[in-house]
Amino acid sequence: MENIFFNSVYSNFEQTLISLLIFVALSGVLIYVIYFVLSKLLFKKSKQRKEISLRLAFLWTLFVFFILYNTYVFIFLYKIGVENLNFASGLLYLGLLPQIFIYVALIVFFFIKRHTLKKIINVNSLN
Amino acid sequence: MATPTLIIGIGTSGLYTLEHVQRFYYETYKKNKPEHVEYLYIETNKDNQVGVTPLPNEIKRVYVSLGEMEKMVANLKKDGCGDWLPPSNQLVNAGLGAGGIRSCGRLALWGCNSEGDNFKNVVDAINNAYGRIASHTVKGAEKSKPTIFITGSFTGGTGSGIFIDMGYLIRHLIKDIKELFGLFLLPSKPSSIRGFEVLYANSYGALIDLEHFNQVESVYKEKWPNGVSTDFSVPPYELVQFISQDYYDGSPAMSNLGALYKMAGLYLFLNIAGVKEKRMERFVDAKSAGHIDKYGTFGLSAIQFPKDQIQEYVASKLSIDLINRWTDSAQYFSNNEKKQINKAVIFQQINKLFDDFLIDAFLSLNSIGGKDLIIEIEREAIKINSKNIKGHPVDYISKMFTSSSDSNFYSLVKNNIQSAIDSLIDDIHDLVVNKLNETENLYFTKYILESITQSIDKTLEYWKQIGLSSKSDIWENILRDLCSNTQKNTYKIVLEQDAVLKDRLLTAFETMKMHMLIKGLVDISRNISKDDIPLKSSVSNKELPKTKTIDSFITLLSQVSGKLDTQENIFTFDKRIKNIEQDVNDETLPILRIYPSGSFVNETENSKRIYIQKTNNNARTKDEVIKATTLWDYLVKSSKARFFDEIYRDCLNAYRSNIDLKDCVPDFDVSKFIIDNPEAGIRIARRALSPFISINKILSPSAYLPKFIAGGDNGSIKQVINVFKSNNFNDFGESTDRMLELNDMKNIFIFYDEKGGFNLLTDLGYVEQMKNVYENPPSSETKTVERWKNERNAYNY
Repeated sequence: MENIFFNSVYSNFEQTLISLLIFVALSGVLIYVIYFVLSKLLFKKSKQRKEISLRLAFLWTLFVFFILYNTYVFIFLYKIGVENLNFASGLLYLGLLPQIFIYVALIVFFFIKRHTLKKIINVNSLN
Repeated sequence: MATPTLIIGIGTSGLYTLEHVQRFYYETYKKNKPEHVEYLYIETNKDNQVGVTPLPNEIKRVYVSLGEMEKMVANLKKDGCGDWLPPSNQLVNAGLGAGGIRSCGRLALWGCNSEGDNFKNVVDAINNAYGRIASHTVKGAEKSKPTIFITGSFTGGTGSGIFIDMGYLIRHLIKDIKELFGLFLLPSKPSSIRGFEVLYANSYGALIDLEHFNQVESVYKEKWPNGVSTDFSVPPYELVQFISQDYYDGSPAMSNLGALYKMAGLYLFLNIAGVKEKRMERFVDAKSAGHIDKYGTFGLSAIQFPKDQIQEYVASKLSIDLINRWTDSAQYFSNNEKKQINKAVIFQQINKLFDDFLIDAFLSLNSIGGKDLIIEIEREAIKINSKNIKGHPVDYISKMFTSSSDSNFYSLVKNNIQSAIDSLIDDIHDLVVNKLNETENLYFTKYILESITQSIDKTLEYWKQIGLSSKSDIWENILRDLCSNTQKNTYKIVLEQDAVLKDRLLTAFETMKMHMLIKGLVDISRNISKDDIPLKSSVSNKELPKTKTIDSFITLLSQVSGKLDTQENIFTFDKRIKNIEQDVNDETLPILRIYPSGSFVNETENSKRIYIQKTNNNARTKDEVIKATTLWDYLVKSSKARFFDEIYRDCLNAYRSNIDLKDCVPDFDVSKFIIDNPEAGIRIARRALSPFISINKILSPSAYLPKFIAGGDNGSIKQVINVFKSNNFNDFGESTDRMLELNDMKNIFIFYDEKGGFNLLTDLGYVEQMKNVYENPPSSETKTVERWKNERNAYNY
């Protein structure tokens, strides 16, 4: 397991793909857990429509997860040591593909969700 | 015990005289008349109405119609009465009232047309008036007999036409009559009679008739329209007093007719205030000595501190200040501070408030017949999520809110939509009422209403933008979208599906309310700004305020204050102020006005300053006038009655009584003024020695005829007499016979001298000119001598 989370060395594509799937699945589980908790805790007394409260809670979930993920990235880089990373090597990026993917996907996902929420809140929408 | 007295005014002059009697009485006693007195006024001119007085008017009007003259004449002739009637073609189209034709005036009393039975109306009015005064005399004492005064002018058609009939009618109706007096106004000595021929000829004709019925051998034999046949061989009046604008020597005593009415009013007022008893003390002696017979006249003058006029003037000024506050278009008062009216700020505040009103209205639709629809919707959400329904959830939800069902949420809310409209009407009404009460500014309130309509329009515009409409088919389209949306993203994953569905159903519910309320909001907005019948809340019965109503209040109030022009017969504060100014500055009136501060202007300014100091308030407020009601309700109530009269009276009465209570105009000792200024006192007292009529006969002084000084107490009258004596003016003598104490007349000294022993047909200074014009129609007239005389005569004998 440690190999999956704290390994920056690219071995083969199959291994990278497995790691990526595990990363996605674990992130999904973690996001779900955080979202479940936050959906019960946040905006209890809000007069907003429930759907908006839930979507806002989801954005907060992504934010919390992002913080946790950054913590993980910090520990990860600390563990392997930045001096050991060869940023000029393409293999490094292939080895770090799952982490990078989650990082980028998280940010993109956040902004997509934020945009959808904005559309719902839009004054000219009945939904 | 006070003598029951009935004063009857005939024609327009009679009305003006009565108005002065009423006003003099009010000025002295703060009420329009005592209980033992009644005022009655008989008029042929439909347009003449009794003017506004500070208290409810006490002059009862009897309108005798002159419509359908031919029919009236025919009816009278058919009934065998009215031998005196000239041919009907000479009576028609007489003009306003009796049109200066004496027989027309008489016909007005006798006639009966589709507007009513004039004779019966007059008889009923006299009987009713007598009934009222008679009921005030039996207070543990023997019933005293009534005295009747009839007043009017001989120049027009009404007074000169019916004064003989009226005398005998009174004698017939009031059997136990004590005295019947006449007070009639004559035209003044003419510089040129041209253009005024009718006035002088009518007066001469009336004098001839009066002289005839005063003769011992004359009999008044008529068959009245009520079937009563009369056979009176007594004169119509015990005594008829005549006055004109002249002094004895023909010099002008009064500059205008208004002053003549005023002096006639003062004379009658003095009679009901206690002078009559004094006059009558030695009247029999005077009569038996031949000093007076059927005709009399008098001289009258006074020195007055016009306390009442000052009070009324200041009250009028304060009333104008108050109305100006209510109708100020630029500024308003908040917490006693003057602020600018800012429409933008008002709109901002009202826009926020209107959102709250809408929330209230929406909330009122949540509960119907004790059933909480929100709880119902929650239950439905759980039912739908637990699949405890028939059919597809989207169809099920659609059925809940569709307009095509009569047993769903749509029909429930639709049947209850009036409660939301009622809620809005109530909220808007309360906002307007409270803000008007707070600011006392109608423009501020009007801008609030305009802001409300703007907020409604903005809301409707927004709803339109998001696709809402009051039309059912559009609602069905919206509902379809809303229903299909309920099944997307159900949030079942975080176990929030029930809350989310409930929320979505509530959104549909609220949207449905918006769709249904569109028509109501359009109606409210339109009703506020248009001239329709105001919408009413069906529960509280409150009316939706309208901008037009506020506009009309502003216009009417501006008219009452005098800022805007009004019809001539409508009383305004501005007109009243001018009247008072004109009255107190009238030099030709034999009344000298005196002031402790030297002038009327100083006196009124001082009084107003004292009032403001004592109220500790620079701004006038409704609380000084209106008690126990809001300004809005007061204005609405007044607008349903006679707005001008209500506002005028209420403001004037309230301020007058406040001025009185705060003693802003202290009494002023008139006797002290006379003692300090004997020359002025003697000058005014001398004016009373000349009667108000120009006579070519030397009227020798009589010890029996009334001649006295009247004042608040005998002590001060004695002091004045002593001062006169020490200044070699002894015309009023010094016996108690020449003094009359009238306790309530604190601020006035009256000098009175009655004259008699003349016959106007021979002694009037200009009787020959009157006779000439009576017998010969003026060259400008195309009428024959016969027709001219017919119009100048009303009695056959």
